Amino acid sequence: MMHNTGITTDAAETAALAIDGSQPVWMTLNEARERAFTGEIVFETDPEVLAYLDHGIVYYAERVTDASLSRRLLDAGVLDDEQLDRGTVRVGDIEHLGRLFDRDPSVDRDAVVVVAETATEELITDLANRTVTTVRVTAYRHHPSGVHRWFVAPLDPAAPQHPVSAVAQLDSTVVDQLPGLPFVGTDELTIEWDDQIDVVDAIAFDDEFDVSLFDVAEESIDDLDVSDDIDAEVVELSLELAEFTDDIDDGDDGDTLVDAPALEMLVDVDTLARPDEGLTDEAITDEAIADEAITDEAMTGEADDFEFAVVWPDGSEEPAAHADAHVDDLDVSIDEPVVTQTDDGNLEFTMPALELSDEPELADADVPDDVSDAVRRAIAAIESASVAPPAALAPDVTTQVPEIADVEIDDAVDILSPMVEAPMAEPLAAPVVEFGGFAPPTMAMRAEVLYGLTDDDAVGGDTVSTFDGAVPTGGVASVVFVDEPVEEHSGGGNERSSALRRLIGSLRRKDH
Amino acid sequence: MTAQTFKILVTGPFAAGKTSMIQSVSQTQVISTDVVTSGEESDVKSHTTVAMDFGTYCLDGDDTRLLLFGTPGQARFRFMTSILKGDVDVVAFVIDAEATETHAVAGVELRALLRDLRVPAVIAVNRCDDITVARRLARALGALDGEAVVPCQLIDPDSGREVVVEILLTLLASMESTKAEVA
Repeated sequence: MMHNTGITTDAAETAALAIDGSQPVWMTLNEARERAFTGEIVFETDPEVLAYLDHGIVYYAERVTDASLSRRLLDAGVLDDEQLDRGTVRVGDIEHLGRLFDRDPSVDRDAVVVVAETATEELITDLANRTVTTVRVTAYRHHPSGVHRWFVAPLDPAAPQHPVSAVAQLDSTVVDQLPGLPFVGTDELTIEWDDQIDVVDAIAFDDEFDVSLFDVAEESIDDLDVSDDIDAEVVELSLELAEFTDDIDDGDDGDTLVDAPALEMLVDVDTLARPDEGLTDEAITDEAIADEAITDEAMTGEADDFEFAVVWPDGSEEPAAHADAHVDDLDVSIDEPVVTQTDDGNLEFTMPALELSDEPELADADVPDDVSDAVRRAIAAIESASVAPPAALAPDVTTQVPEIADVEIDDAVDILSPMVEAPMAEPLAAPVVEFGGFAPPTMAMRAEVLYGLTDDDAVGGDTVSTFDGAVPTGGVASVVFVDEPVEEHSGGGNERSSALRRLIGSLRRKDH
Repeated sequence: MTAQTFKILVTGPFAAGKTSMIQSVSQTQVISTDVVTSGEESDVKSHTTVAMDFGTYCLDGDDTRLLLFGTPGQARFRFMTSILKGDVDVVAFVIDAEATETHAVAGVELRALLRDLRVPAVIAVNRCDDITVARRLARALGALDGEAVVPCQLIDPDSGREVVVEILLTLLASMESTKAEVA
């Protein structure tokens, strides 16, 4: 007898789980798995057992007499009271644990899940061979604690999304291989094979078998292999500079930016490595990253299979070589981008290696300053390369910066002393020879701020314009990050709105 | 007339259509930092962005420029979105309506994005033609009523441009609103 208390539209699905007479629980579970049933099945045993399934897989089961899930987690020691308090959503009488890991990142997700898995598997194992005469089925009813979310909403979409009861599924599959197995009314059900079979080969004939289960096993093995000395791939962000049009400017106060960190990035061009030559100790000169072992398990497990390619603006792809050196051996500078000049004269700008991390919930505050700077510097580099309209972009940079190879480090520092200049009122006739490097962009360096300064100079009659050919005196490019929003001048705001409207109009015209 | 630059940050979960959207607008070859995907990601697509995508759009005879920055979709690169979102004028969050397995993650990312966002945001619901469905999905994932929602088919460049137009209209409305408040 079966009581279907679910939604009427699911009657067909739940009717398939009906029990005709008494039958073992495992038959009901198998039926549920074949039907990809989602919801609650209550086995009327003593005490009653409630099993919750998602697409046929039991993700959680408990006896009605069991303590609440939160209590069991506390008793198991995988949660403390504070974590439970922070991770529980309380709405009226509802105590929802579904967002436990979202609300409290300090919770050891794996430990919590393992406790729930273990309890479920023990109960299902104990229950599987028992006979029941009545089950109650309610489609799409999940455990009120919200535990369902733990198993169907992983934080990382790329992460394996196997339901919790992977082992149970494997067992069920094995049982499926024996459809004619008579029910034995004993507590123990033994399955024996006469010959030892190759598990993998056997599985290959079973289309329904979830081969991805083996991925889980492989990942577990990978976990065991993790060590401090890990070969890891280092991502290179190589940017070809199409044109430099930023000028160099002294600060108002006469200070130059010689001492700014960005000016220290120059290295001997003779020792620089091209991107396709991989990272070498000579090319990487900072110990900042070397001190941080890369612990990305995915990277360590698949380092050999990881291939990188840089797609250049001209459409060509350039595979980047693997970093063969151990991370601990690398001498990487996150503050010192590498500039190289290729044999054909093109200037290549290699961004510092980014350290990959699988940490899914890395808070803003946790982002290392150096990584943040690297990203900002990449933006600055990109913007610098695109300052000119597309028509003005010259494909060959060689003619624009021919002297770069002859610049000695000491001389170059002198040349590069001033970092940023307020934009010129009229386009530059020719690109500057000096290579200014890429100072970290700041709020004070935003285009609208600089253009706003231009407006001020243009409006104020007494103010000497920085664009009259005189040596620029304004527009200090501070390396201090300013978070305060910059007020827009009303005139500049109108121009900005007008420019935005022109952009919209242009894009709309392309639509038709 | 001074030069004007507008920056759009395009973010969202893995394989949502971010790079396609940038490519649909960019006049210059999109600078990509793609790597060959591995593991389960390789079942979805062969290459993926690891650092950022970058595209530009400029007006002819004008100094007005539109810069589009695309972030990687994997959660491990989420810190980049956190960094970039403070340096742009408007944010576009792309969701694949049919990739339901990504929605839970997308919700987490969207709420994290909107939590302290100080610029307008637009939610682009890819592979969706129904504005009602798109809005429902966006709301379910944590978008507020004030956020603009656009259904789109980013495999079609025209649709990508329409999304960018909608993004710019949202930015324009925000600028006008701010201007009115100041006045």
